[in-house]
Amino acid sequence: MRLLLTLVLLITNGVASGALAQDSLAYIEARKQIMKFVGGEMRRLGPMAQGRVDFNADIVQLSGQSLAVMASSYPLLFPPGTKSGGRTQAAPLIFDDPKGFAEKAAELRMAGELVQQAQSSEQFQRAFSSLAATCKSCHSQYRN
Amino acid sequence: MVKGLAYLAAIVCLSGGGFLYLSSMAGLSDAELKAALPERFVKEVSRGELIFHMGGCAHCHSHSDNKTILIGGKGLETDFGTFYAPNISPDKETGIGAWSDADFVNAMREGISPEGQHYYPSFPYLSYAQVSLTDLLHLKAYLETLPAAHGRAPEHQLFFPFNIRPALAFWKVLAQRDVPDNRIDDSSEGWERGQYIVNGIGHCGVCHTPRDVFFVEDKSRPFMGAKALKDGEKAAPRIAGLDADKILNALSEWSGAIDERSSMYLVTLSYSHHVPLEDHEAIADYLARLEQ
Ligand code: HEC
Ligand code: HEC
Ligand code: HEC
Repeated sequence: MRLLLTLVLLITNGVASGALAQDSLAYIEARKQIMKFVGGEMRRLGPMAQGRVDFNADIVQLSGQSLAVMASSYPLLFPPGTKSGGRTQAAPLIFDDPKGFAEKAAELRMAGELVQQAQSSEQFQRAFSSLAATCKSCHSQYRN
Repeated sequence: MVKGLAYLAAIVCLSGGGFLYLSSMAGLSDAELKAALPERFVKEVSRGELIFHMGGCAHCHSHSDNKTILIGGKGLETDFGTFYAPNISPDKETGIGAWSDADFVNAMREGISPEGQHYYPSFPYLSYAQVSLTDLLHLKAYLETLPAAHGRAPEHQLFFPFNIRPALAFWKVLAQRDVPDNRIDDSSEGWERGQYIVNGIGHCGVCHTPRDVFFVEDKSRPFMGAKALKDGEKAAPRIAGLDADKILNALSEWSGAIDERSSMYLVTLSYSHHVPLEDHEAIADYLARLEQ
């Protein structure tokens, strides 16, 4: 978790200082790395939502929190100049409609927080399915 | 791609007549199969069910919402034309309900029908050839528990000269020449289990390994990424030496890593819902170890 926070901070600070943005390829790779962590959290939670792995409130809390943190960084991860290059799958719409994109990211943050607060397996399952829907809805619009 | 197809077309045309003798390549008889099996072997439906999901049989052989009705598939579009995976339900007349164990094994491992015809490689038997005999028979036992569905799939709609089935004999000689015969034990664990799944029942190389001019998987560049079989579809990226986390993500529906519109997504769904997480780890372990 600490590692993750550091990474998110590094990358988002990188934007602020303009350092990373100069090397758009490195920037895109770093952003994909964050997305990959998001995927990794979901991969851990999925089998729990499916009932294949026992509900564990500690894991759920931690994962929900990291998802919310990472989601908060999303609007900063797509500065001008990183529209294309490398293996980015970012849709141009992100750059044309940053407001819409930021709203989707906020939905992700809130869905992560709901997961974080889940106390029981039932609450978790409900929160997880809206979280999973958030991923799909943003990808279908903003990812190629 | 176009050049490759032209080569292949030429070979197929030339070989159409000359290589007919190859078309008598025979598979195992029932007695030979029996002799090759361990003593006191018993088929287990539940193991067969896992093999079924790992092999993605329903992706191609079912067009029903109920993926256990294997009446035949939607068309599989490729640059060679459209293939229709046939009925493999237990129906005795239009499915494979009347097949012996040896008929099934010969289809899955040698790509030969009970009548001795060659199958097109759109049926990934070159990979399934790496599956143990026992796992294949567990699979057959599972297929026998599924509903019998009566009906035939349409004929394949292939462009000339790919519609000359006997010419496949020649292609198979090319394609089988460097298929390793090191069939790994199906009881292996760790990365060896991953190797068994990826190269065999998982048939990952069908999409992820580049093909040579004869359209044979290029075994010198395993899993290095390949173009889609149909223009306009997403390419299958390189997965050899990929970071294990990425591989695990790709096998999980929830990770969001795989685009729902890509041909990988059905693989992702099967593995998310039906394949144990230890097997995901084994697959990731094996692929991540491959040369960068
Ligand atoms: C990528 C698509 C695809 C997948 C996956 C696939 N098949 Fe097939 N299969 C085909 C096609 C296409 C044919 C027809 C080949 C031909 O006509 O030459 C076929 C033919 C067959 C046949 C011969 C049937 C007959 O009537 O002669 C059998 C048996 C079979 N498949 C079993 C399986 C099993 C079992 C699995 C899962 C382990 C499987 N297939 C997975 C596409 C597929
Ligand atoms: C039907 C073709 C097909 C088969 C079979 C297939 N894949 Fe894929 N795979 C793809 C495509 C296409 C993509 C790209 C998906 C995307 O961009 O969303 C992909 C993506 C992946 C990725 C993500 C790579 C990355 O860079 O993140 C991994 C890992 C992967 N596949 C592993 C496998 C494994 C393991 C198997 C066998 C169990 C397999 N694939 C079988 C077509 C296939
Ligand atoms: C606000 C929109 C948005 C939301 C919400 C969102 N994503 Fe993404 N995601 C993207 C975009 C855009 C990309 C492509 C980034 C690129 O390639 O530069 C992406 C890429 C990814 C990748 C691929 C990373 C790689 O290695 O290429 C994964 C995995 C992923 N997202 C998982 C998720 C999961 C899981 C969720 C839900 C918990 C989610 N995303 C929610 C926008 C979103």
